[in-house]
Amino acid sequence: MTKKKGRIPTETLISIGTVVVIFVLWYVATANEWVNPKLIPSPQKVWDAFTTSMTDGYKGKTLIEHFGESMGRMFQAFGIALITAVPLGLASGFSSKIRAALDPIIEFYRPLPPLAYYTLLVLALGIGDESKIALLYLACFAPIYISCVSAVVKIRQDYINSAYTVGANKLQVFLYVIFPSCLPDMFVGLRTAIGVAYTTLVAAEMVAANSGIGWMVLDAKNWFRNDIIFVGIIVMGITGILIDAVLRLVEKKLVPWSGKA
Amino acid sequence: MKIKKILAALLASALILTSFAACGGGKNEAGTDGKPAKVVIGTQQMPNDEGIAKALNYFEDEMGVKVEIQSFDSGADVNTALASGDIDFGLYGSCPVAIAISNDIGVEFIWIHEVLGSVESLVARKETGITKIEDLVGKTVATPFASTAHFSILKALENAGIADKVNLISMTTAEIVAAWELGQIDAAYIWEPTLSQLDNKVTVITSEDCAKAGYMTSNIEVVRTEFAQKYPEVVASYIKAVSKAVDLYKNDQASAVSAIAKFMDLSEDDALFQMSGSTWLTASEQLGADYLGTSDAKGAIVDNLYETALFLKDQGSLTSVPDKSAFEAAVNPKYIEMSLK
Repeated sequence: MTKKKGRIPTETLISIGTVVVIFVLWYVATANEWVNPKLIPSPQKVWDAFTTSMTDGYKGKTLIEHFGESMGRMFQAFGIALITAVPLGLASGFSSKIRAALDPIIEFYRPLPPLAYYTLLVLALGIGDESKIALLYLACFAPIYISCVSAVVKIRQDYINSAYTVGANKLQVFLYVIFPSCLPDMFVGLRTAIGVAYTTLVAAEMVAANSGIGWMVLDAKNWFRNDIIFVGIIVMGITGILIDAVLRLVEKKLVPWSGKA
Repeated sequence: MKIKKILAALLASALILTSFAACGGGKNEAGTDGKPAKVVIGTQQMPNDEGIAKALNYFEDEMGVKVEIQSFDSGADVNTALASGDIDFGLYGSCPVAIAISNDIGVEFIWIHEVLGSVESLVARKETGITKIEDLVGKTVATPFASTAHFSILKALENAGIADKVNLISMTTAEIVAAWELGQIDAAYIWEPTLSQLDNKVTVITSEDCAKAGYMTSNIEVVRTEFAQKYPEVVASYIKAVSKAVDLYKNDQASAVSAIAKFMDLSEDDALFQMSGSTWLTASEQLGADYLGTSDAKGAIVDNLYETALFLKDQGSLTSVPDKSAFEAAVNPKYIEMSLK
């Protein structure tokens, strides 16, 4: 890709075009009542719902507070997943025995739909934040773990050997050779983890919550507030893109060699 | 990479939008001789007149068309199904119907299944020591949101002046049973048959108490306006079927109880106990001024629904409440009148 400075790439323009087309279609379709206005609210109505939920709030909390609660749950889960899945993943990458011990558990629960085992988590951990965080944690864990395993397995043996030949000790090999070469794959895992946790967010706030952006969407369904459902979905979508962008920025800063094997 | 992602997301949402638009069309193809090909009734599992009518096949007998019964877990889901046109009739409480009218979903209120009494109650676990509504301060209370039970507890908490001092959470009936067993909730406002499944309970208030305090709740039937205008005779036959069930319950209680017990897999004692927790009204009683009233002079239920909607607005659940005339228009005793002719 060649890029000239100061010019917007054609692809970006096309993307912007798509967004504009969708908004225009949305506006025209609702303004002319091609769609049932009870099912699809107009952009104006959604915008109004957005501004009121920002200022007056929805059910006692503002949109920011709801969002904050959800992010709090998600990042706690993500943090715990990070400190458990990375070491376990690296260890499993190094030792086929450790991997053999953990594989059955991870391979078993990974493809399960989160809702299937959520009831069990609620029964075990209660209806408070613990069960919600546990659900998100399980969602985050597998992608991080798996990416760490594959990262270690992938390392070229000659890198490690050449480090040893120039006199590096084991710790140095780990810190300066193994860990850095795992980072690109780990970041892919982290980004996937956030993505999966995001898709689980609504499910996690399904039982006995009274805050969070996922709960907001579910509660709005009860009261036929389709405008609020739209607000929730749009906010989740946009913030999902933003979080991914931030992670990619961090990746670029920390792992500039990513993608250049 | 990034652009592809965004594009994919946008395409997906465009698809969702168009598929929504595509399914806006009419779903009920007309059958022969001015009757629909089939009638879909959305219901909730309750020991009431509709249950008897289902168990004894009154609907198909009276309507003369194929009848399909769809079960839902809450009034909110019934509202969604009505709005999308997937069901023609729907059973729910007076709270969901107020939501439906306020959102102009296009339904008519045609029948009261039961006026809620002890069949819907606020109960607390014995070990919590809760005996009266004021004891709920700082406790966790579960109820399915947007239901009549939710409305009753909100009203009760407001009257006691402790509305913001109680942790009120939304749960489905099945979740309430599980959370109760595990001691994760202190109290629940819920209806039968779930109520009977909760052990070691103390009844704090019943919906009968609420009715005495001025906020009556009921389970009612609505029909999609579009469907009713097309097939008024079918709506009148629906009324004939449920009315026959009420008469059976009033005149031959044993047969009514045995039918519903078999149908819902309850013991006859349990069925009778649950049924006696609410008041059933005959078709002519429903035309009285306390309830639907007549086409010329609509009854008190109009005010009841309007006040319910206003309360839900104050409480922040509804954004706007239409003029009272919208509620007056939605309450339609015409089909009961037709059925009595």
